[in-house]
Amino acid sequence: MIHPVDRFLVSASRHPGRAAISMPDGHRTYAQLEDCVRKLAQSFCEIASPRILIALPPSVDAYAAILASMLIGGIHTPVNISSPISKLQKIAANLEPDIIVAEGSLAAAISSAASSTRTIDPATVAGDRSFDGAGSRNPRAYIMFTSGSTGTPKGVVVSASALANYVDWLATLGYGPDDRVSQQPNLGFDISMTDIFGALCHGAVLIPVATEADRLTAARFIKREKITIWNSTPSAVVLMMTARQLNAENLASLRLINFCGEPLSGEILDGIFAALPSLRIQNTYGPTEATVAVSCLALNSGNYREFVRASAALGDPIAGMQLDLVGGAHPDEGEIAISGPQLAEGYWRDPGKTAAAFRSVDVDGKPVRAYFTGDWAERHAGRIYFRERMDFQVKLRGHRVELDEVTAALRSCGWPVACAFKRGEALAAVVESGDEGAFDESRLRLQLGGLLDKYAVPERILAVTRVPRNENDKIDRKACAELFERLRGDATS
Amino acid sequence: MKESSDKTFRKLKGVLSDVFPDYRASFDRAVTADDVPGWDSTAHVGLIVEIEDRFGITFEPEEYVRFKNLGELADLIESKS
Repeated sequence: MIHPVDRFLVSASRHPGRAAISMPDGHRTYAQLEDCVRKLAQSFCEIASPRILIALPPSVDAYAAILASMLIGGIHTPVNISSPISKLQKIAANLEPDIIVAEGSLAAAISSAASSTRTIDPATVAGDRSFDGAGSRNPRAYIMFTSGSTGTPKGVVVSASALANYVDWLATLGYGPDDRVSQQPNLGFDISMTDIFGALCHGAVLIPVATEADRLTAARFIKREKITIWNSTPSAVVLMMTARQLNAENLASLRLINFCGEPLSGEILDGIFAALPSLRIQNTYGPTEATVAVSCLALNSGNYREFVRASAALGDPIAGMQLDLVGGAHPDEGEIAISGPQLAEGYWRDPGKTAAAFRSVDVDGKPVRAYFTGDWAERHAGRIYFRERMDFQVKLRGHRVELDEVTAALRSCGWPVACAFKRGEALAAVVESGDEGAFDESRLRLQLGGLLDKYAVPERILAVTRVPRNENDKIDRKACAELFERLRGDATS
Repeated sequence: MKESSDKTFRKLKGVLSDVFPDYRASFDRAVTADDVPGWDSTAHVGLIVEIEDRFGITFEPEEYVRFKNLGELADLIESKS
C-alpha cells in the first residue's frame, strides 16, 4: 500500500513548477502547495496524533490542511461550512478535536462546542517555520460525519489503508498532468476525496467550484476552466440541464464524468450523450462506510442504454472489493453487503451502531466482515441494480410498501424527479413540475394504478416547482413531506 | 443602480407567480429567496431561465447571485433590458 500523502509528495517532487490548485485569484504550484502543507503541518505537530476538524471553504488552505494532517500522523475531519452551526457544533462535541482549522467567527462558534481545543486560522500560521522530513503515518485517515437517522451526525472512521485502496483504484483511471479536475462536492461529503487525491496524486490541476455563481452555472464553469474530469452527484448535472447549459460548447473540454452518491437515471445520460457523444461516463457506487466508492460502470454513447433500467447498473467491484446480495428470496436480489479493504473501522464512539451495520457475511463458505448498506438491489443479466433503500419501507394497513418503488413508478410515468412518503395511513408524493405546464393529478394516479398495488398509490400528489434537495444535492424526503404539508396548509387556509 | 420601474416589477411578479405557484404571500421588493418555500438552487436556476425568456435578456454567471431580494433582482433586470 502506498499512503495517499506519499503519493502527493511524489507528485509534488515530480511536478514542482506545475499548477496544483487553480483559484479565482491565481494558481499555486505543487512546490507552493507542499510549502503550505509543511507550514500547516508545523502548526499541527505539537500534539501527537491529533484529531483535526477542518472547517474551511474549498481552497488551498483546506486541501493543504488535509494533506498536512496526513503528513504528521493526524486524523482529519473535513466538514461542510454551509451546514447549520448547530450541526457543526454537534460534530465538534462528538469528535472532541484537538485542533480546529477555521477562520474568524466560524472558528469561535465551532470551538465553543468542544473543550480543550486549539484553533488555527491558516491566515495566521507563521511563514518562517516549516515541517521537515517524511513525518509519520496514522493508521486512521479521517473521520467523516454523515447524517444520522436520529438527527445526530455519526462519524465514520476510515483507515489510511482503506483510503489507499481507493486511491490505488483512482490511479487506474489515467489522471495525469494534463488533466484539469473540478472539485465540486463540499468537503464534508466524502466523494470530494475523489477529486483531491485523483488530481493531487497525479500532477493534475485541482479547480474548486469556489463561488455560488459557478455552482449554479457549472457547465459554464467547465467551459471557462477547461475542465477535463468532472465528478459530482447526478443532481449537479440536472442543474446544468435546468440552466439549459448542458451542450457541446460548454462540455467540449471534458473527457470523463464520474458520478457517485445517488442513482444515475437514463434521462441524465440521454442529456449528456446528446450534447457530447464522445464523452466517457462512470457510474460509481459506494457508501461513506466503504470509503467513497466500491464499484464502477464505464458507459459510452454506444452502450449506455443496455445498462439502464430504473437507473444505471452499479458496475463491477473495484480491486479488492466485493458486493454480495444477501437476505433476498432468491440469489439475484437482496441487501448489498460490501466486503474488502475499504471497509471503515466503524462509527466513532458508537460500538452499538458499528456492531449493527458491520457484520459477518458468508463468502465462499467463510465468514467475512461486511458492511450492510441498507440498499436493496437486484441482479439482471449479471449486473447489479439499486432498487430501494430498505429503511424506506413503510407499512400501510398491514401492507409493506417500498417508498422508492413508488418513486420509481412516478419516474416511469414521466416525472423523473419525484419523492413519495408516508402521510397518516396512506402515501403522498411530490413531483417536480419544472416548466412542464399543467399537472393532472387524477391522470397520474390512474397511471400509477397500473403499476402499483392499490394501497401503494399515493392518495395525494402535488406538483411543486422544485423538489427539495439536501446540502449534498440529494432529494430530501423529510423536507418534501414538510413542503407538502406547508403547501396543503396554504391551499386549505 | 436606479430603482426599477413598477412595470418591470409587475412583470417580474408575474414570472415569480408562475415559477412559485404555491407561494401565497405577496411578492414585494423586500422578499428574499429564504422567504419563499421551495426556492433552492434548482429553483433559482429555473427562475433565471424563465426571466431570460420573458424579458429577452441573458444573465452572466456572476449575475445569478447579484441580488439580495426581489427589488434588486428587478433593478438588475431593468439594467439589462
